[in-house]
Amino acid sequence: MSLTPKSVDFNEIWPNLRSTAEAVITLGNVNRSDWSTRFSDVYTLCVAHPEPYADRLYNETKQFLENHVQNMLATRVAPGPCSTSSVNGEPDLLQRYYDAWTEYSQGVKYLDNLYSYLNQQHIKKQKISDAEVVYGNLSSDTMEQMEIGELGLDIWHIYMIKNLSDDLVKHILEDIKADRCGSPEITPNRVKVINGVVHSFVQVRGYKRTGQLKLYQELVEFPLVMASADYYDNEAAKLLKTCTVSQYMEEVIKILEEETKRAKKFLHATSMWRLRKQCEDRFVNRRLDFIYSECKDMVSQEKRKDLRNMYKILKPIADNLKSQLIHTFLDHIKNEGLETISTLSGENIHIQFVENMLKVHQKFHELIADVFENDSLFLSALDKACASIINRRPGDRQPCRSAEYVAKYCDTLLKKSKTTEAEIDQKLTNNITIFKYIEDKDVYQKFYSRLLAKRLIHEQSQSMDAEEAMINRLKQACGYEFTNKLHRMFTDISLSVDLNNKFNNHLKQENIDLGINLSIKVLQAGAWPLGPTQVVIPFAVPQEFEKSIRMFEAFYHKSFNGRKLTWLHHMCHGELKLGYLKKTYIVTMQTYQMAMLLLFESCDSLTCKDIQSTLQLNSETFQKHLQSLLESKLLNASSESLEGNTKIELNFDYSNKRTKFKITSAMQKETQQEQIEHTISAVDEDRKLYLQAAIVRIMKSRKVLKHNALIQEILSQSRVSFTPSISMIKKCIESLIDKQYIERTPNSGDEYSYVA
Amino acid sequence: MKLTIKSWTGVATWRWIANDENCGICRMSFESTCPECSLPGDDCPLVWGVCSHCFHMHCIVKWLNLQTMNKQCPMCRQSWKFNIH
Amino acid sequence: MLKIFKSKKDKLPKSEIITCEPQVTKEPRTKCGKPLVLDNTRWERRLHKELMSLIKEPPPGVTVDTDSIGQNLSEWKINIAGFEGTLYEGENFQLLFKFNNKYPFDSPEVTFIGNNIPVHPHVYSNGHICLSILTEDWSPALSVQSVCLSIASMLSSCREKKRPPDNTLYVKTCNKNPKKTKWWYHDDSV
Repeated sequence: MSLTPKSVDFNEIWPNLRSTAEAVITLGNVNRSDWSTRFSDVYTLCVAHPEPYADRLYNETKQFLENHVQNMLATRVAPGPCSTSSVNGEPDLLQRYYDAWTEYSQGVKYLDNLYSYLNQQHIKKQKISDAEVVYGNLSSDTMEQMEIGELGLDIWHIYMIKNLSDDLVKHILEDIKADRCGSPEITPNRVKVINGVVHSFVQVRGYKRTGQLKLYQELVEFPLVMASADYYDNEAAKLLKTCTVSQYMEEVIKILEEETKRAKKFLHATSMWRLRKQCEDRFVNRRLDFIYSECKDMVSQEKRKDLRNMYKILKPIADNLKSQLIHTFLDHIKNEGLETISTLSGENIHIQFVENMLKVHQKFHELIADVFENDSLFLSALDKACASIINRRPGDRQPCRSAEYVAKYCDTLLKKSKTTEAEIDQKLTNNITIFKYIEDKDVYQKFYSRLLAKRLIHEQSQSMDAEEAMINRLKQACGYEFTNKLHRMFTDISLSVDLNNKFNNHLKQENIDLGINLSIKVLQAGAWPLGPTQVVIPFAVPQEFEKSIRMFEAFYHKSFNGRKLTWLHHMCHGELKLGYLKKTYIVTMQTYQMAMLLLFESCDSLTCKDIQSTLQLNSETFQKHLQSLLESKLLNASSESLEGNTKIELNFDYSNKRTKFKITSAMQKETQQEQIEHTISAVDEDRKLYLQAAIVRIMKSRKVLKHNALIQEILSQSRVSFTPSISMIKKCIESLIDKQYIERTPNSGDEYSYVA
Repeated sequence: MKLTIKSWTGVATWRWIANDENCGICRMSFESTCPECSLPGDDCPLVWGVCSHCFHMHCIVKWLNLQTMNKQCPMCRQSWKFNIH
Repeated sequence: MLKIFKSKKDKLPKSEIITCEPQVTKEPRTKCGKPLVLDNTRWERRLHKELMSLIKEPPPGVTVDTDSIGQNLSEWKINIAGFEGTLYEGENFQLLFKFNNKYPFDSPEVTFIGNNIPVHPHVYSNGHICLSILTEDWSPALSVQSVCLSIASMLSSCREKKRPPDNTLYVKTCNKNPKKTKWWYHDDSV
């Protein structure tokens, strides 16, 4: 064939082309050579000389397609029974439409190929660009020419769909309804037909740049959603009459699943969520009262299956509508938590507290994973509940003791015991879970540091690795400032180990034998919570180990320039070998006790006055420690009351099954209650200072601030370590006003300004 | 010997011995820290010059770093040398 | 307007405040020796202390004009009275102290202000003072009080009331800030 444009007769070529087009559109037989000839005919007509026939070809083809579709409607689709049931075996309207569409849509695609040249060279050139569509004011219905494939679809819409849509949609809706009732007529084949018809409304608009789904939505989706809503409403009403909440929820889940499947089966994918929304609205949103009617029982009895179902159906709806379930759940955790910790008593109250709380936490954590898919709303309800249980004050006047319990729990774990290290590690990690809920982290820190100090000084730690790991956990949770001093204490102990080694080497080098196994801990004064006991009690160190102490001091001063050591004798202890009894005993005791016993080296009996004045102890310390020695039976007193003339004698009849033992230290007589009160009041002092400093800082940068704004800033700054009470903040503000750091602004009662 | 000491475990705290209560540069107590530290003791140590004057290490170092020419003790203007021992 | 603490005990003990500060302080914490970024609020404590002690235990003839002290302590006015038995007996002078945020590592800017600028061989008629401790001989161990005392003693030891010989030229050409002047401390005896 020749590609040169030439003069041709349209009337000669068109009939052949038309008959081939007819064969193509009806999916008839077209042999290859015919196809090729017609393909070039299209070309020939488009480039014909002197005048191309492109427009004429287009119009003739359009005419041809219009006739074809009208003919199909009249002869193949319209006639015949409307529904299958009327006449056996004969295809009904949907089937006929479907068959016609299947053929036509395929045919049009082929035809479009046949007209490639016309499409590419003639029509595409006229087409308005995307930019023109967006920015121009061309209406989309300008009489532009369309590609042949598009033209075919448009014609189908105009001559077929417009005529039949009412009937088609009516049947579609009927069939979907029948499907809902489980009608046997909705066979897989039937589903295919309906799906095909429904999608024809989309495909027929598929060539459009925008609004491809509009026709489908108007024709099918909208009426279907409306009809479905009514249907759902009816179904829901029916279920309500016969079902318990539990059954209802199961039914709803089933229906939701089915409807989703149904939407997938019949409809375009975009309709699924609309239908589902409608379904949720009718079955869930509008029946919330009913669904929630047994919520309390389901939660309190932890009916997992029901709760899981409830969550499933509530999950897609708005968060605020779920709040009833969440609140009920939160209250339930709170009740259970409070119950498990309210009855605690006895010595191990701190262990019970933490372990019970952990059990509650773990249980509900697991439940949320199992039932509520780890939904963050429920996890935060768990957090809220735990925080509220843990920080609850037993009474208005009573402080919350959780921080103390949790700190003591750590102490119990970290102290020497038979528990394995792995187990301790696990428990300490768990303990952090509870720790994180504590608002009074500063109280915890106070208790923790005191207990840590005790463990470190008295060498009660199970393992230094575990100690360090725990400090690091706290650091992770609360930051460096929080654990600063703890780290320091820990370091002091390891530095002391080094120091002792160096001292011993030094002694070896100098060939000095102290005769005493000396072990010294040197603490940095500011880092250790030694409290008021830091006040040095006067004490004449017995000469038996005074020399050793002096040697150590000299060594220390040589190593550390400019430092002075203060001995905390009430924390020191030693082992004394008793050689005057039938058996030899080795007794561990505090330094003061040791000093008292050592006085009996050269005599067997002394008066109280002698002992006290030799050791230069104040009478409180003297009484306390002597008492403990009398209680141990190592010494006997001539009278109950320890007056100056009371005679104290060595008990030569002393015997003990064990040859190595320890005398209870006198310090433990300070009651626990006192210690706790002391710690709490120390925390209170710290808080006041902290708050005052925070207020000054805030006011200094803000200059003028309203009362409420100031309170808010203070609260946000202090959150890291504690939640101050408003009354405490107010007191601090007052005291700063007294000290004239800040003042009330004259014109407003609730505003403060900074005073430089 | 009726009584023999086998072992003794002593506990002591240490503080700085300074000839003054406060650091001459920041005027803070030696028992506490320089204005930029939070934990007294090893973290914010004291240092002595051969002239026997004592400062928070952070304070004197900051001062010496600012001196380009002759680095003097702020107290006595003698040329500053750390008293290592 | 400056207010005074009721008692020394009332003041917040510094170490306590710092120890309980939250970890999230905005200012970067620099140790000395690293690039110098003075944390003003921390070092301001020293100025505050100085002010308190100057108010409570002022050296003779020295009074702080507390009304003059602004919000951030950066400017103080201090009154000095001429001592008895000196050339300035019965006269009153006023000094202006300006502190920048490097104080006490940098010296304060000190000038005489007001109607009565002492006539003195080291004091220019614009109030600038030729005194080495205010520039190259500054030391952080010095204080407002010691500066006041030095100036008072400089006045007291004067034997003849006269302006510096280069007064006219200096006053015409000098920078407003006396610390910008390259002083030549010619006479240590006065």
